[in-house]
Amino acid sequence: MNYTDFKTPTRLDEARALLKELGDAAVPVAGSTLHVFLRDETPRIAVDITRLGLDGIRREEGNFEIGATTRVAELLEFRDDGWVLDRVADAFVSQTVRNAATVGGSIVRTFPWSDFPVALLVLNASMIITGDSDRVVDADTYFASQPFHHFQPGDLLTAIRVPPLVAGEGFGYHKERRTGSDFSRLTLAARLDVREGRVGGLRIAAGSGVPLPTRLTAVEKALVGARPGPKKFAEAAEAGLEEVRWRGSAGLSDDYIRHLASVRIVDVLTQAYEEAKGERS
Amino acid sequence: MKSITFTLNGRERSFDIEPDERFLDLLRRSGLTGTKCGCDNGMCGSCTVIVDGRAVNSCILFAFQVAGRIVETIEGIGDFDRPHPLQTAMADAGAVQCGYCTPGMVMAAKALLDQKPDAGEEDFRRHLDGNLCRCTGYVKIRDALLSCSAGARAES
Ligand SMILES: Cc1cc2nc3c(=O)[nH]c(=O)nc-3n(C[C@H](O)[C@H](O)[C@H](O)COP(=O)(O)OP(=O)(O)OC[C@H]3O[C@@H](n4cnc5c(N)ncnc54)[C@H](O)[C@@H]3O)c2cc1C
Ligand code: FES
Ligand code: FES
Repeated sequence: MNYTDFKTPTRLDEARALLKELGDAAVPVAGSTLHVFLRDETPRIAVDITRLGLDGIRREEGNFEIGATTRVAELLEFRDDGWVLDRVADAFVSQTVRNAATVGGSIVRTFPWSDFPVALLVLNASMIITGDSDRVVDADTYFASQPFHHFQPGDLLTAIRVPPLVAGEGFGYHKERRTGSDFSRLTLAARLDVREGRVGGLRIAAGSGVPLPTRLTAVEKALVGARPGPKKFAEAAEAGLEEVRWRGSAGLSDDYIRHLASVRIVDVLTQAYEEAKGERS
Repeated sequence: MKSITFTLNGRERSFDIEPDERFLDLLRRSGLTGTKCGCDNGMCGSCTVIVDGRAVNSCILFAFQVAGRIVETIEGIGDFDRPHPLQTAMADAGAVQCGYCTPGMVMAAKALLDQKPDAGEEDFRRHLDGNLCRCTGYVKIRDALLSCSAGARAES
């Protein structure tokens, strides 16, 4: 990054005014870890947004409201009924990066291997963007393309709203990697609820083996209303394989990732189902 | 050049920095060369320092980000004459070979123990998962660091 100056505002309105006035000449900086992957030599003024009080996790009208500059490590440490993002934070690189990177920074400009978009899609989260007026963008819309397209100069992601899991619901998450801090080669997440022995609702999404994080709606359709179980999960996974074009990386072929997806879809469905039945180990 | 002020190893200090200067470079050009540069990419942990109580990679942090913060580096926690217990434990356990990863390991472990004095093996594994060692094979490092936990001391 070619920063020519830096600003350290302490109020949201001050930061927004600066970003708006400076336009493309400025850029919000949270954990600043993105520069490892994005070598942008355009001269810019860095506006540090970590001193605006946009951090912390709280319960608001039943939902979790996560401040955009909350460090990923705090998501790992946080505990409350219905909170599952600690499982996603745990898979996020390393503790030193979890201590620096913010959850907001990790979903404004995403990579195929980014962890949070996949989980936030299945959790049906909403992103709160503060601009001249506040906008609440649902996860399907927010992640349909590179999220930074939703932002104008002066707009900031200020919070992420996540509905908690309730009784009868379960969450599954899998990140395929070769070492603990490796990038994901395939990410899958599922949220499922069981009503009277049948799948009541299901959201399942994939990342990394696909260009952008994406819902696997064919798997969802195949399972909603069905009696859950290994055979049914395997059938649904087959349906999901046809829905997207699976993509290999780092020496893993497209076919291998496709095969892996058939196995791991069943795994995340099983994890979510077991938790929904109250059997999470 | 622009000036920033922060608390470095217990003392308030001011430095003139370039806006795009990395914090690791600022430390090393200021004579604090205990913090090492292994990968320069956030992937090895040899540059670990503690900022506001959390262990971070100083190679991917910009210097301006520490303005007003509390920073600890390996120089601040002990020296040859008065080593920190973690440094003594690393030496006693034979957990240091080339020593390049050692300052980062010690700082990551210190941040954990400051937060959780009775940290167990799982905690160390999670909190040091970004600290790589290419010499020792980790077993002696694990033994050394665990011996400094209040939990381990209570057991022995
Ligand atoms: C070695 C390494 C490995 C990694 N591996 C993974 C991994 O496996 N999985 C994973 O998910 N992530 C991983 N990451 C982290 C990820 O790629 C991003 O670097 C990180 O999440 C960005 O967060 P940040 O707070 O540092 O954001 P920054 O780098 O500060 O910002 C990122 C972008 O978002 C913008 N921005 C930030 N916050 C806001 C806001 N509130 N409103 C508007 N715009 C904003 C910035 O202008 C910038 O364009 C890794 C990072 C490193 C360094
Ligand atoms: S030098 Fe900073 S993580 Fe390797
Ligand atoms: S002792 Fe050489 S890298 Fe760890």
